[in-house]
Amino acid sequence: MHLTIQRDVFMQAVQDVSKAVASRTTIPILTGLKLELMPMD
Amino acid sequence: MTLTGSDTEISIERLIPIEEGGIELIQIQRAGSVVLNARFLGEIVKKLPTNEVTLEVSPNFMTRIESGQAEFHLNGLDPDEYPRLPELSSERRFYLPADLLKTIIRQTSFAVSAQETRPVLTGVNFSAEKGFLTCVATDSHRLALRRARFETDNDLTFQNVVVPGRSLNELAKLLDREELPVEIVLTDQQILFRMKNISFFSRLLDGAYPDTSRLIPEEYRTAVRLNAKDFLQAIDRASLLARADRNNVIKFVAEEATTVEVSSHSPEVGKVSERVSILSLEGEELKISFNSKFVMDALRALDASEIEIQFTGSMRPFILRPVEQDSVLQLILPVRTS
Repeated sequence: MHLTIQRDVFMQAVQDVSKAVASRTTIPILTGLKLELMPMD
Repeated sequence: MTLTGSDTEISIERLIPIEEGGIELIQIQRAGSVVLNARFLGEIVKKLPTNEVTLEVSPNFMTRIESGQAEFHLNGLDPDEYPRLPELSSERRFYLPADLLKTIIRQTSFAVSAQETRPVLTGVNFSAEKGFLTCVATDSHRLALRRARFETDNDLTFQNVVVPGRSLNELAKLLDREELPVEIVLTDQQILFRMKNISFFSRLLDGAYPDTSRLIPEEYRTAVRLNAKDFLQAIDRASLLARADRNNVIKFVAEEATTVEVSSHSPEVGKVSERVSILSLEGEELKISFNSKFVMDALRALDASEIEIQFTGSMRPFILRPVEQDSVLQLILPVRTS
């Protein structure tokens, strides 16, 4: 994955999905956010 | 581009379009995916020096984040290890305007139980029949109910869809920016709230929600109409001397046509009483004691200028509702005093 994005747009999205991330979890990968960039059609 | 966060109870998927309103938001060099620590990523992005951010993920998931002269290298994780979101395919779907959904949450979710002794009561119970949605929350000392008409493609009927209060409170924070109706999809174990760029998934609570319809009295013996703000302020003052460890007990006396009295007495602190003007008193005289916190919560949730309180005696639950509006009500159990 390699991209350039506007910070404010990216920050808002990170904050939105972070609402679902638990501070403590027994599943380590859930402390993370998954970022996925789909190929252009 | 999509971002996903999850604690298994709530999952949020957020779409960032490549361009919006003719403005290019993302320039793609190479597609792919990675999992990055939410806390570090959030703090880094917030403090980057310019509005242009470049992300580049190497094959071992090490991720370079560059903006201006700053360059971070953050250890990433394999996205294939990340749990998949449920794929909800269901005919059970309906639509609510975002502001109405936010109001429904504000008027009900505060009344869910904070205790895990009966887990099903930590959620709001959604049911639907004949084009009307009913949402109920109760902690068994008070109950909040909101009805709303909803739009659906088919004749949708459901019951016992119990959404955790915490999920709804998180959802409410995301509804402010929404202008279009929210699509709501139901399956047996999950509910999905689909907004313009956000899909919000929540697990549903197991177990049968108690039948609350019998709790709501259909008749009353005393009805008091009053200005909600004046009443709220008087109760707030009277509760200054009430003790939280003794249920914040306030005494309420309705014996006159133009005023009611609210008072509180704590032997070790002191006492307070205040007369509050009312719009009308109908029916029997009444003395009742209640938890001031519950009544203040209810008055704030109703968000109406004039309200009616309907009593059926000093030992029975009473109802607060806006005058001439029956889509919302708050029910409170009185406190028994000697």
